[in-house]
Amino acid sequence: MDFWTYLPQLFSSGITIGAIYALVALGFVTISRASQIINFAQGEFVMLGGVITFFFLKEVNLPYPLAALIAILIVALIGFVMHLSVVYPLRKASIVILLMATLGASIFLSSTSGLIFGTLPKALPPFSGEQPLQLWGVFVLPQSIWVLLSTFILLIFLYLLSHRTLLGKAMEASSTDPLGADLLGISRNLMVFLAFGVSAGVGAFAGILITPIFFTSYSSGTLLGLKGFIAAVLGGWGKNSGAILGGFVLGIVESLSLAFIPSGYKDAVAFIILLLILYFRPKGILGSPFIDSRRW
Amino acid sequence: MLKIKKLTVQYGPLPALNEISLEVKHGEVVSLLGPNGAGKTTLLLTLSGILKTTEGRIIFEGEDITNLNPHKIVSKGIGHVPQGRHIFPTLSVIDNLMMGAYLHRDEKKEIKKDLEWIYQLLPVLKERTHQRAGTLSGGEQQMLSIGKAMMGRPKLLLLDEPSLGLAPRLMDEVFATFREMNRKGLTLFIVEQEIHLSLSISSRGYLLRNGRVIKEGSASTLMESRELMASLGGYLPDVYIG
Ligand SMILES: Nc1ncnc2c1ncn2[C@@H]1O[C@H](COP(=O)(O)OP(=O)(O)OP(=O)(O)O)[C@@H](O)[C@H]1O
Ligand SMILES: [Mg+2]
Repeated sequence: MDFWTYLPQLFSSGITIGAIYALVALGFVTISRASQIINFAQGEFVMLGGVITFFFLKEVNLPYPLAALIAILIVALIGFVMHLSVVYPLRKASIVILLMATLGASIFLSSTSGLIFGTLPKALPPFSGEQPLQLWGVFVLPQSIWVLLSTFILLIFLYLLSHRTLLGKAMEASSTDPLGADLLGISRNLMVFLAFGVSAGVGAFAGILITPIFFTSYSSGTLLGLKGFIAAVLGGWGKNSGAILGGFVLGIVESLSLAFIPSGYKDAVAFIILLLILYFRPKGILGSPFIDSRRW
Repeated sequence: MLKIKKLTVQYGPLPALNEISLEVKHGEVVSLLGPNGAGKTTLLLTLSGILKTTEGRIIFEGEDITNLNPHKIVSKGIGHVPQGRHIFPTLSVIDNLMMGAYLHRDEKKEIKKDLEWIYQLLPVLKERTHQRAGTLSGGEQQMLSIGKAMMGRPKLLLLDEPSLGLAPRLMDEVFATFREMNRKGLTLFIVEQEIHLSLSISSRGYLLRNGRVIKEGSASTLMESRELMASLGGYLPDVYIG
């Protein structure tokens, strides 16, 4: 096979992994918009989504959809608890201290997951069938189609939630002007609390989508979290649309790079992209409301 | 309606307010005047619960509201139009106004009535209903800031330099609106640099300097006081010129 024949193949798997990165990035952005915090435990939410679903599916023998739903709810609950126990008590502290606290939480979550669910990598079965489908000459796993479809539906759901409901608008208001919102009785602390729950739930969702494709172990959160973070920076830190675009761009570029470099170096591609974007366009592709490029 | 007793507020070790005592009665318009850095904004932010006090009491309608959370204070009926607008730039004008009604979001009928009354008071907002607030002119943003505080159905409205950045004609219009709101029963506590404009609709006023009340009295005595002129840098209100 030469380069041109497997390019479409790489492209299609890039889109799949890109959708996952987009969801992880969206989790980062949701929290940072509400509170300016970069939540380093975002990747752990993803890992927990996969691992907890595995637990309910294989150990408790629940039906797949139910196991996934319970996992999402549990991880969202973990997000709420993380806010109440780590972020809220430190709300008066500087951002740097909060960052370290979320880093601490991430280490806590991954080791606890290792203790409870074991350290062996886990793979969920695909949602349906393993037989690759052939679409326009490209082999596509059914799981990839599930990933894209579910991501698309979740994005629409989140869009409606934040643009069509009063609560979503209140979160937006509180993130663009916390003082103005507080003075109207829209409690900033409550909005940050909600953001943690939503981010954790979205992270878990991503984890459930990806675990049938890649093995998930207690320590997979770190790398996924970093990729999501890079995607968010790449698209434009603090923008939902930037997170989604950044996720897909990162996924595709990373996947296409396999045509040129050995696959062992794949993860380095993301970090090279991060460096390049920080050097040449720190506000990201779509621009960032938080970063004024002139100051760099 | 509002009683402040010996209120002290500090930023770190530095006191910004020192044993402030003052009162706003039901149905009144009261001005709070003072040079830059006197502590006017600090006082209003403390009343709204954004800043916390170390000493002193704030009593609103007989109830101690000292150091309550901001949303509790809003729900008791204190609205606040902060200095520098603080509108939500990415939301439309109507959504900004709806955010103002956030605490009684379930009372759809009343909200509709409030909205009509605010559109009547501030007709610019009606013309701009679906425009993104960030694209409004400075003056329009100020109107929106007032409008969204009004949507909270306050009994007492705190206004922090509402005339800032408005053209003189617009200032007169805004203050005429305040007078109208007051006639309908709203009590106003106004921080202003436009002394004569603010005092012209007020019954009483306080002069604040370096975190202390240095003079208080009826609008007319304040207007003629030497302290006022001295502390505001020899600025002569129009009454002396014309
Ligand atoms: N966050 C802060 N941290 C430290 N000091 C502050 C802070 N905010 C205000 N100050 C100080 O407190 C004093 C009072 O400030 P404040 O904003 O209340 O004044 P003001 O009367 O509203 O002035 P202006 O007319 O300029 O709005 C000033 O000396 C100011 O420098
Ligand atoms: Mg001020």
